[in-house]
Order: sequence, then structure tokens, then C-alpha cells
Amino acid sequence: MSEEIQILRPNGRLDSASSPALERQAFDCIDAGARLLLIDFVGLDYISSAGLRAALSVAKRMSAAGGRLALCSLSPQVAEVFEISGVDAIIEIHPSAESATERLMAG
Amino acid sequence: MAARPRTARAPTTETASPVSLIEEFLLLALEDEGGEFSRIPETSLSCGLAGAALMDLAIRGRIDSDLHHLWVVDPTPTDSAMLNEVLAEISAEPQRLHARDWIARLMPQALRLRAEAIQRLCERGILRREDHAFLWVLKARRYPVERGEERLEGKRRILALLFNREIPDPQDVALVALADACGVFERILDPTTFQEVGPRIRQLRRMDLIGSEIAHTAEVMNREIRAAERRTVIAGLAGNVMEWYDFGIYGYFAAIMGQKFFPAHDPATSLMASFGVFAVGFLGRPLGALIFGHLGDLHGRKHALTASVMMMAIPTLFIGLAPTYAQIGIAAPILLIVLRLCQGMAVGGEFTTSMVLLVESAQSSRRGLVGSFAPAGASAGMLLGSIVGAAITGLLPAAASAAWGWRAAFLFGLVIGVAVLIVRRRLPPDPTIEAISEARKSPVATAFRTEWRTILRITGMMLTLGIGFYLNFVYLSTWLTQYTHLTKPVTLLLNALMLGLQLVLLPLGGALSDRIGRKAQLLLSLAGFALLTWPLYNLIGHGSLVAVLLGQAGFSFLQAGISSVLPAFTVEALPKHVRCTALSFGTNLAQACFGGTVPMVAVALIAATGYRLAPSIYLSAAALVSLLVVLAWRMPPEERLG
Repeated sequence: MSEEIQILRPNGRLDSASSPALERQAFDCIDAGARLLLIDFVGLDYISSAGLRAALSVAKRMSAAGGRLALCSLSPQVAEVFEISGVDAIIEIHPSAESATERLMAG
Repeated sequence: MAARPRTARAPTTETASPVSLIEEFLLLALEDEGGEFSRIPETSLSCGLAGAALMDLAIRGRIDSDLHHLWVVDPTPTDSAMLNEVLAEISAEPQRLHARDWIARLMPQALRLRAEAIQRLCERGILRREDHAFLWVLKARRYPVERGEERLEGKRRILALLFNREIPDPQDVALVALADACGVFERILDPTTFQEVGPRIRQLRRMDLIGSEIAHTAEVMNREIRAAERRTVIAGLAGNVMEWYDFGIYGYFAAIMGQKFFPAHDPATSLMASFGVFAVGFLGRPLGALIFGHLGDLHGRKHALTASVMMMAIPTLFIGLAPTYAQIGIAAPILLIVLRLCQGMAVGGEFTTSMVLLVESAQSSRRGLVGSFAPAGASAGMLLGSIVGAAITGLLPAAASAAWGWRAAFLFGLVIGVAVLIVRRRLPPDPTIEAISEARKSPVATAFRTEWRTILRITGMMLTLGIGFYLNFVYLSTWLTQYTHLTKPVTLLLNALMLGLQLVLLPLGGALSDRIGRKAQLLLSLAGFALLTWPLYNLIGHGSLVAVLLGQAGFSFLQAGISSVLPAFTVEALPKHVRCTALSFGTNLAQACFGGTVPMVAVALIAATGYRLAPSIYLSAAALVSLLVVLAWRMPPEERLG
């Protein structure tokens, strides 16, 4: 089990084509023992319902494993999807990677 | 450490659910008691099924969506034929549409999706079909193990989710959205708990972008359907008001019309002749039933109902203007007889065709309520006729009432008729007729060849209604004046009060039948008639105003119990292509043979036995026959309604 923060950085679009890969990567990290996971959306400019579903699946898997998942650096368009769907209420979202890292490390 | 993206693998969600979302949704909608799906409003159920198909395809990685559009990302067929048809339709659409547009577009396929999903659930050994009910095979409420995975059934999973703060599985989020859009939670949770978990439900249903559109679409569609339903109810109700208004005023002015059209030295003879013309109206009913039934099945309910209103309104105008015996001699009574025959034919077609129109236009969960507005319209019409008759005879001097007052009453009926015609012409096009093809050539022949048993059952069931109505709402006022100290005006007032009570009880009875089931309500009401008619007549026979009022109110409850359920029960019992013909004929046959003859039979029974309560035994016996008919009646599958 690792207390180190694992960071994933998807780029471009998170939709049905790209979300399975991100989901698998995140699952692999969790299965490998990561308990602090940060998905940095700084390079992401679009998210579809498949991407949102993937984020939810990862959050559920991490929660079941007893770890913490955080997202950061959401563009306004991506943030709108999280806000409208209410997923921002159940997944930690931070404005930047620094603040997210700080909060995750602080416990 | 930053992990770099790797090559995408196949979507893990493809094999996550052995039971599809449509199947899970249907299991959620299934009533544990009774094994029926029908309590959910039809539009909501259709929206739910369409939305479930979309969400299923999304979970299987075939489609994707965002806040604005929905599109196909992988047209590869799934392992489900029903989903593949939906996928093919979305693939064929050149434009990207909004999820809510797709839900609305797929709603007409809901019945097919439902049937296929039910079949799959039965094939998987999760449900079994017993008569028209679907029952769980597995008492443990876990799905059969497939692909090494065992899952708790959807209802248990999402209920658990409502009471904890866990992060949900995407499929459970979709299921919560579906359940909420279709009002499943209101049915399975008590009001306090439902209120408590309300915020959690709202939180969960938003998490799926397609799911959140289902509730919205269902709400919009329900609003539109309710508006159309209101228009149809007004049109169906108003027609019956008009047609039965005439019934009310003819009874009021029978004596005057007897003098005008059948002058005789003996006033009793002219009154008898006048009531004879009243009876002629009944003879026309089965004939009208066949003509308008045929028209309704062949050309649509709207056309038949427009024609029946005209057939009522035109003779009403002519009766209002008809020359009397003093003016044209024997031609006057002949003309009156012909006009009454036409009106009888119009009533024969109107009442039952409007029942069919109302029930067919209603959502399955509201058929009882909406259908009850046909008999409510008839009661309202008779009540209006009585009020207008009482107002004319009460306000005008007797000479004026005899000279032109009765004509004014009939001409007022024409005004109602024109209003009804306008309302009916504005009805939306008849959707049912598009689907009718089986009996295009001859609905009458088809009805008698294929539905003769149901026609006989309807006649058997209508026996009590016909005898009960004409005994308790027509003949009773004469009986009261003969065997109690109540005067004619008092008995007419009591009758009007009971018609008013019917107006309240009928919709309540219709709504009740939507909840407790039509057959149960019919059996209860018929048993009530069989057991309580004699005691109620005994009570009425005491003659005090309170006793009569209570007795008549008792009959009003029993009558409304049957009348209110009759439209939905009989319409659901018949296939749509012969529905108007079979229903009209079965109903009017009973009314003509047993309803119209009630006063005569009642008088004959009392004369033969010397027992003034003999008519009550006649009604009890009829109720017993109807009870046996309904008891042995097995309803056809739900799909037959179409």
C-alpha cells in the first residue's frame, strides 16, 4: 500500500473512446495499492457522459479500497458537467494540482 | 509520480451486468403483489423504457452523450436484439439529436421493448408468467449467477444506496433515475421515508446525463397527454350531457306532449301513448349501436361521435319545431315517433362509443377514472334536463309551458348539441383507427363471429345496471308516490339529488377501480346489489324523507360502483378492431330488453304478487346473474388494448 500520490493526466477529450483507458489505468493504480489518487484535468477540454461515468467508477473503486480520489484543474466546460450532474458533491475537486496535493497529503 | 496513459482496452462495463438495464427497470416497476406492471403512468413507463435502452447502450459503450447531444460511437451490435434495433435507428440518423429528443422518438417502441425484456426475464428464469401476472421465480431476489457474478436485484441495490452515502455504481445511478422518473419510489417507500431520502434521490438521478433527461421528458409528455386527455374528457362528457339531457326533458314534458301529439278524451291514454314514444327511443338503441359501432370501428371514434351528435341534435331541433296533432293530424305523432327513433339510435351509438374514446385516450393507470366521465356525462345530462324542465314548469304559467315552454326546452338542447359538435370537431385525429386493419371490411360480422361470448357477457353484466338504473332512477319516483306519502315534486327533487350524487361518486369510483382493480370493484358492487336491494327498498318503503334519502343514497353508491368501472372494464375486454360494435350492441341489447321494460315489469310483478317490494327481488336476481357472469369472466391479456 502506498501513501504516495499517484497522478493521472488525461489529455484532450474524455469520452467513450478515451475513458476506458483512463478507467483501467486508475483501476490498475488502485489494485497496485495506491490510496491517494489525483486525476489532473489540466489538459482536458471536453468530457462526455462516458467520461463522467468513468470518474464515478474510479471514485467508487477507490472508496471501496479505503483511499481518496481527487480531481483538479477543471476547465469551465468540464466543471459545468460536474456541477450539473452533481458529481462535484461526491468527488473532491480542487482548483490546481498544488492545492490538491496539499489537501491529499494533509489527510 | 505521473502515470502515462496506456492503450485503451475494451470497456469493462460491457460484461458488468448480466441483466440489462431495461430488464432491471421492469423488475423495479413490477408490483410485488399481483405481479403487474400497470400502476405506472403509461407515458412515464414509455419514457423510462426508452431512456433505459439509451442508458443501456451508453453503459455498453455503443453511444455517448453530453449536455447537448447524443451520438453513436460504436455501431457494433450488442447481444440484445432489442437494443440493436435502437442502436440501428440512432446510427441511421444523420443529425446529432439531444437525449430528450431520442427519448421522445423511442417512446413508441416502448411496448416492444417491454415485451422483449419480459420474454428475456422469463427465459432467464427470473420471472414466470402466471395468467396475466409476472411472478418472481427466485425468492432470494438475486439474479442467477452468470459469468461467475451474482448480483442483488436492482430494487434492493438502489434502496440500499438511498440509505447510505456510498459512491454509486453507474448502472445503479441509471436505475435510480429511471425509478424516480416513473414514480417507483413513491410506491415502494412510505411518504415520510420518501421525503427523507428525496435529496439523495435527486442527487443520484442527476449523475447520469441521460437519466436526468428522462424525468424531464416524462414530465413534459405527461403534461401534453393530460391536456389532450382533458380535451377528450370534455368532448366525451359533453356529448353524453347533450344526449341524456333530452332523456331528462322528455320525461318532464311527457304529459304535455301526450296532449299535443296524442290527443284523446282520456288523459291517461294520451300519457300512455306519450310514454310509448319514450319506449320507441329504446328500440332504436340496438340499431344505433350497430350503425355507430360499425362507423366507429371502420372510420374512427371521432367520426362516429360527430355523426351521433348530429343525429341527436337534428331530431331535437325538429321536435322543438314539430307541428302538433291539431295542426297536421296523424302525421304529427308519426313524425314524433320517427324523430324519437332517430334519437334512440343516436344514444345507442353515443354512450358506448364515447366510452371507447375515453378509455382508449387515457393512460393505462387512469382508464377507470377517465372512462367514468361517460356515465357521469349521462347523469349530468339527465340532471340538466330535470333542472331545465323544473325551471320551465315552475317559472312559466301552465298555459305558456304547454304552449311553447316545452319547445324552448328542446331548442335549448340544440344549443348544447352545437357546442358539443364544435368541441368534437377540435378533437385530435383518431390514433386508434390507424392501427385498425383486421376488421376493415365488416366490423359487425367480425364482432359477432369472434366476440359473441364477450357480447353476451356484457349483456349479462349490464342486466343489473340497466334494471338498477331504470328501477331506482326512473320508476322509483312513481313507486314512491304510490306507496309512500311523498309527493311527485319531492320525489323528483330526490331523484335530482341522487343524480347530483352520481356526478361525485362516478369519478371517485373510476379512480378507485384504477387502484383496487375493476373486477374486484364490480364483484363488490354486484354482491351489494344482490344482498342489499331488498333491505334498501324496505328502508325506502318506510316513507320518511330520511329513510328514502338514505335508501336512494345506498343505491347511488352501488350504481356508481358498477357504472364507473363499466367503460374501462368492457373496453379492456374487447379487441380494438370490433370494440365499438361489440360494446355498443352488448350494452344496448341489455338496456333495450331489460332497462326499458323495467316500469312495465315492476308494475306487473306487484300486480301478480300483491307485494310492493317485488321489484327489489327482480333486481336482486339480476344482480346474482351478473355476479356469476363477472365471476366467470377471464380478462384477455393487457396487450389486447393496444
